[in-house]
Amino acid sequence: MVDLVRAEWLKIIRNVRLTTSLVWVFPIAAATILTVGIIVNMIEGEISGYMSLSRWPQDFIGIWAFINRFPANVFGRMLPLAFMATFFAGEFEWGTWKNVVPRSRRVKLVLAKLVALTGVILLTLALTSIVIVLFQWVGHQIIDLPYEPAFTMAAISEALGTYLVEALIAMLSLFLLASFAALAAFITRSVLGSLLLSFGFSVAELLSLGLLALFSLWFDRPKLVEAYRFMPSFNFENLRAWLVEGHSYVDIPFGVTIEAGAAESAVWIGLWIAVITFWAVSTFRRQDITT
Amino acid sequence: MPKGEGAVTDVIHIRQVTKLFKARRKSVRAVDQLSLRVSRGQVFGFLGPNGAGKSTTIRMMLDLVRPTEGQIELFGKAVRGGAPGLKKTGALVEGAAFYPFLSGRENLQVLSRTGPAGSSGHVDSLLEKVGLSKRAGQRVSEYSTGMKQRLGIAAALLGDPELVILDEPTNGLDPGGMIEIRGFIRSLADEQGKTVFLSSHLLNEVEQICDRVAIIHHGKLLREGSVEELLQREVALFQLQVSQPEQACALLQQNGSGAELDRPGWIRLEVEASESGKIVRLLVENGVEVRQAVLARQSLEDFFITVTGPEED
Repeated sequence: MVDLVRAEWLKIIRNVRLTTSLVWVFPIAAATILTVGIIVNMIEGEISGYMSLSRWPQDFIGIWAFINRFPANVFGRMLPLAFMATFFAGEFEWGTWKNVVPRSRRVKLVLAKLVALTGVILLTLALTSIVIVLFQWVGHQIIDLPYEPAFTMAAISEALGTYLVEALIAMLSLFLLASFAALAAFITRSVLGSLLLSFGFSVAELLSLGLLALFSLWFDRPKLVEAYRFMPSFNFENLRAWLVEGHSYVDIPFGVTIEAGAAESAVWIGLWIAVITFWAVSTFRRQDITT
Repeated sequence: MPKGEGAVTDVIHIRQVTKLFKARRKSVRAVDQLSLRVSRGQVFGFLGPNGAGKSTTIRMMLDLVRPTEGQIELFGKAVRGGAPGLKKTGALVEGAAFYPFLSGRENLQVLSRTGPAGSSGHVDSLLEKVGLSKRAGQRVSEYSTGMKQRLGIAAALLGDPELVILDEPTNGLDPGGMIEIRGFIRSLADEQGKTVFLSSHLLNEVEQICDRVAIIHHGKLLREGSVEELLQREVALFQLQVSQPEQACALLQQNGSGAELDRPGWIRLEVEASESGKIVRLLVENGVEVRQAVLARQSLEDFFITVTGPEED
């Protein structure tokens, strides 16, 4: 299995064009935007509002909102999803499944790909958070502004704890997205088809609360909106809220209130990952590879 | 054959395999009740016109495509994902396809990591064997068709497999490259004891390097045997220079053969190659002097066209 993941890793890393445009773009964009910000601050001789307000723990952790927090994740998930869908469907377009499938079990091949893709995106987001903090620190040094709070062991330890929880939630979320991408690729067997289908899955899931709210109004069934408690987006937000803030998810749009414990959300997340992964793998196992 | 011997000597055993593909309410029978056995150490030629079902059969052997009916065994074990037989098998399937953004060497490294443990050690020696060592660091997107084909052969040999399945291995190679690769394929069996299953539409290629041949058409097995056996079994043109051509013709016609007069002093008839001796004996025993006998043997190409019929549009 380790060798399979290494093989997938090599394929991902060496596809420079695709990886740069869909994944490395996160740290590159962060570095570019922050450099421009620093230069503007230096030229104008004034401290921008963003810089004066920024605190390093929030800068450090903020990147995970692109995956974990609504509504940032509606768009934040798009690039990683496109990347994953392209890598799964690419094997059909390159005609390379026929080389790798006889050499290993299909289940292992899919799992290795899921792990490698999730790993690359996690690593990129982690790198982005470091880039953000580093550039912000340099910016603050240049304009002689304190970058608060002080880098004490207690502050670092607290930020790191929250960071790891956010990263864990993002990892689970990315693994589920990768499973969606795999399923879309196995169903459509084309890059474009898998992009459209996986975007459809992702957006529909994220906007499911709106749809449920609409249906509950339409059918005059107020309880219908509570079905949102079964959706991955609610459970990721809820688990995150419990682990980071110590209470259930309270910022649900449309004033919806759903009480659910951390364990319940963890179970639902596990079920979603298991079902979608199993669906993707079993679709691929039954498939004739004719290209 | 003692009980169980088949499982030991048969590297490939295809039993009554059928594959139906469903497309838009229509069902296409790509392979129809095909049965084959390939013994250890043979170079086995798999011949058939385009669309005959060769590649589908190979894909079924590799568990890329599941048979609708029947079973395929490699090394005595049914083919399924991760089956031990597949771990001892290397293949080049229907045109080499690789990751275009990786170099030739990296492609082999990726494949070696997906294969049986310890197969990555000889990537460079394989690249050298197929004549790609100088271009190994170049991206595959910059490779010619022939270079990709050579890389495909190297990929099929990763992990030092006992069975090598090659689907049209010399496609895209120049004549010199074809000769080189054919010699290399033959050496896999002669020097390394590997079993080679070779699908090709190049009949002279099969005639030159294969021990046994199977011909399929419309998914069905038409003939199977050694090249010699197949050609001997078929009808050849037999020309004889005789002392009394009219008498010889009449004698042979009485015996049921369609002999006819040819150029002056000669007669001709179509016979099974193995029957030519009997014809000569019949004439001599009946007082006809046979001065020359010419048996125009068929090439495998003639034979192939005879059994598969003219190409369809």
